[in-house]
Amino acid sequence: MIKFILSVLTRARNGMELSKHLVDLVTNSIEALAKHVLIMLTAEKGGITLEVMDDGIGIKDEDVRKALDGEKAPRGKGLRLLREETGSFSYRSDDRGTSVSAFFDKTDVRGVGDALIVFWQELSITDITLSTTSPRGVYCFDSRLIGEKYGDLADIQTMVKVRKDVNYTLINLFGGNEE
Amino acid sequence: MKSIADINAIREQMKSKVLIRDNTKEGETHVFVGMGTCGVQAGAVEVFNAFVDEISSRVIKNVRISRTGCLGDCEKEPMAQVVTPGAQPVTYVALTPDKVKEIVEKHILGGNVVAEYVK
Amino acid sequence: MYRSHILVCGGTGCHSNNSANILKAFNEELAKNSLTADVQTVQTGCFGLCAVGPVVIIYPEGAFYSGVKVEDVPEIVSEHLVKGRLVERLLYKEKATGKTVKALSDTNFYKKQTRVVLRNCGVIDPENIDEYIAMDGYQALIKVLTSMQPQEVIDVVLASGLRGRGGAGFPTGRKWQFTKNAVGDVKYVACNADEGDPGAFMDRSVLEGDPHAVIEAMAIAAYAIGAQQGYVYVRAEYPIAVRRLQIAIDQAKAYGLLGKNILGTGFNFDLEIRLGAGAFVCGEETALMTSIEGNRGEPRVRPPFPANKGLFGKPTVLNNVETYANIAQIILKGADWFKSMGTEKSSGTKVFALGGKIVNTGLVEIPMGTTLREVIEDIGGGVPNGKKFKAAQTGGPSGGCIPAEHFDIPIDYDNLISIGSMMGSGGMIVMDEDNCMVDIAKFFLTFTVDESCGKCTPCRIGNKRLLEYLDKITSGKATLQDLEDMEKLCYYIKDNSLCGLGQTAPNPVLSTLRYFRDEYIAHIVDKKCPAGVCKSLLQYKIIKDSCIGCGMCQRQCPANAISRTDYIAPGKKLAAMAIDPAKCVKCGACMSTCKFKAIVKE
Repeated sequence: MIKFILSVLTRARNGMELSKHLVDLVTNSIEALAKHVLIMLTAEKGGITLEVMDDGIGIKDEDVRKALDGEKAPRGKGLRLLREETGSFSYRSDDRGTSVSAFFDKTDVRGVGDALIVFWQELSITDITLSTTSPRGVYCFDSRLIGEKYGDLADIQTMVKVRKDVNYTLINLFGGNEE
Repeated sequence: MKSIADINAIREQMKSKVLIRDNTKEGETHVFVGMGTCGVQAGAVEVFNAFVDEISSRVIKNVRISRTGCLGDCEKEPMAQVVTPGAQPVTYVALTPDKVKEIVEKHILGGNVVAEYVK
Repeated sequence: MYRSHILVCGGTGCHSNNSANILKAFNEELAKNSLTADVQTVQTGCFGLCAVGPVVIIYPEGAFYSGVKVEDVPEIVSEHLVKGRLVERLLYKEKATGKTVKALSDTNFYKKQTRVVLRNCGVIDPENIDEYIAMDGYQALIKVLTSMQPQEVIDVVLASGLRGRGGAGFPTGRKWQFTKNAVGDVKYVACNADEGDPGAFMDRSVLEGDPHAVIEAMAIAAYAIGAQQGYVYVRAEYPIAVRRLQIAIDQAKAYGLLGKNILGTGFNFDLEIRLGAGAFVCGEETALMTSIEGNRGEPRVRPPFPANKGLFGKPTVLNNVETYANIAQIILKGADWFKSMGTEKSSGTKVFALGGKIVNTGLVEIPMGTTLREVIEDIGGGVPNGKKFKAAQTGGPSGGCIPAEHFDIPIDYDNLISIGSMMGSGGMIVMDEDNCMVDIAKFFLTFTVDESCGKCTPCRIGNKRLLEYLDKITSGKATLQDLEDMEKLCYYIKDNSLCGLGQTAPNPVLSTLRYFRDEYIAHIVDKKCPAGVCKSLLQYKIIKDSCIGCGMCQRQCPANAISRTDYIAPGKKLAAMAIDPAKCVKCGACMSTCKFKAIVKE
């Protein structure tokens, strides 16, 4: 079922950036026992739509409601912050998996590489795919190919290489510094 | 315009960032960085990456950096727990990238817990 | 919101492999199944695994499909998207065990290589001069400028035994010595980055991955011979290499490593890029230089050699990219270090671009003296699909083939020449039992005939005639006299052409004649192509014991070439059909019509 939650709360001026919300959403997916997570970044309407789709166990509508309404939600306040800062988000969830989508009105992609490598140790059990579309081009990164493209997963130097490559590519494709 | 001394300075500075050397430590040190929403809001991603930067630039082997859930007090985020082989886990609170530098140097490399940042 | 995302790789590797059509097919198939509102198709960026493309990833399952064809799309949609079942046969099988990914350095592909020329490629960011400096970049230049005399530099290069990597293998130290000895105040240093051999991309990789190595080496060469200006002649078909090289030159200039008074030592050296315009002959040294001067790329008589009279009439050192890429390390690590690799007469390593019928295609750098067997079997992973190795072509259009009987030959300049081939710039094309050696010779001749500048008659007309002979042979119209005449013509062209292009153009013919003469004879006498490649020599035949005599083929034949025989096969009721090869136009209509698999092509 598709739920679309609107909110009249004003957006926080200095809040978490897109990359931080990304960490939150991927964390949710992993905690939902996802084996595969897709992160999609699409440049549109002067901003970026972030969508995170996973094949985890899903989340019930009432749990989403609880997370948004209560002060101390059962799983944390990530979704509430997401709504506060982007105005609204949409999601879809069933036992095949969940996807969450939110629109950020800036094109700031700084820190996405940093956010991605936070999940480094999880990569042996959860695959992460990052697919981006912007006027300057498309890009894809899949964690299954790290060994072949960048080097040994056990090496911290590889984390640095991946972070650098992702950050550099995304900044070139999306612009990065606009406030 | 650079002098020969300038070129050599760049080389020393960049060398460890690009080269990989062997390290003689045995057993693995594990760093857990709390990555709950409060942690992320407070700067846990920067702290995590600071650990990655420090450890990779000093070319320290046998260290694993992972994320973990909330480590306790949400007011004291970002928090990280350092577990060196043979020693008790140490939980550091209210971390910043600068404090991470110190911890890597003094605790992970030097073996001395940095008391002022402990929980 | 979409319940599924289909990501189709849109990188150039997969693109040329049909990914656009696959995307279209998905959209059509989804529409057919009324799934357009639920499933989004996205053309995404390159995954980097071009060898297993086209790649398709479907979420939320994260299924990684590789080698997807347009024909696979309906199955993927109906099985995966409608029924929720993964299509197992298309799932990408990681070459390592399960999820644990093997470190790149553990694979045979890398273990057997000695990366000297390619040491920084893939390791540093080529657009960051600081990373080059971190890898001891420009230390050789510092050493040369502060503690070595020009003659000492040449002595080291001479002692190292470094030979030109562009193909001729002329001792680099000697070339620098001649140019240093030449009379004149104005001298030039030049780099041949034209890399015209089809299938070769060694130089391109160095320019794209480690451009500073070339810049530093040219500055060292300039110091050694007394030059103050250098030119890099890059083929225009390498835009990324040109861009990276320009960025590197600009960065070096900003650091004062190029220009006036380099590092405060009083040494001046400036470097510029000149673009080629698509002519293979401009890889020849005199043609290259005249091209830089603004003229049509044509070679000239030597002597005088470029060492005395080169660019703009001045003494010039012209070396290949790979040759330069060795210089800095020879200066830093010493001549003995370089000589410790390779063979006595060919020291150091060589970069090869491995292509054709081999499992691991790509660039490999090996110490001279490595056997062909090690390159093909250990590093290259062998010939795929269980086929038998037939020959390896080295030296591109100027080179020759190495047959299986020389599998254990240690690769170096002199050994290859002794068996009728040559090192060349490094292209190595592997051929198996399904390649026709006459056809291969024809392929290379077609290239050289096209690229001949036309200045001298033996090359311009001789090679054209040579190609005509090969055409005659591959279409079954040649005689043994033709073969004899063709061979004589080859030697004539070699002896009388003005430049290397003409002089080496007959090499593929001579080399294949030497080791595969029987194939030529088969084409001429039996009018057959043993490998089954040359189309005009293929014959359509009806297997009389399989033919049931229905006569469908006869009805389809546009040339009235099929008639009924008297032979009735055992168990059949009607007499078999037969094809008259003299009338057959080889259209294949009979073969596609026959439902009994009684017609074959051989």
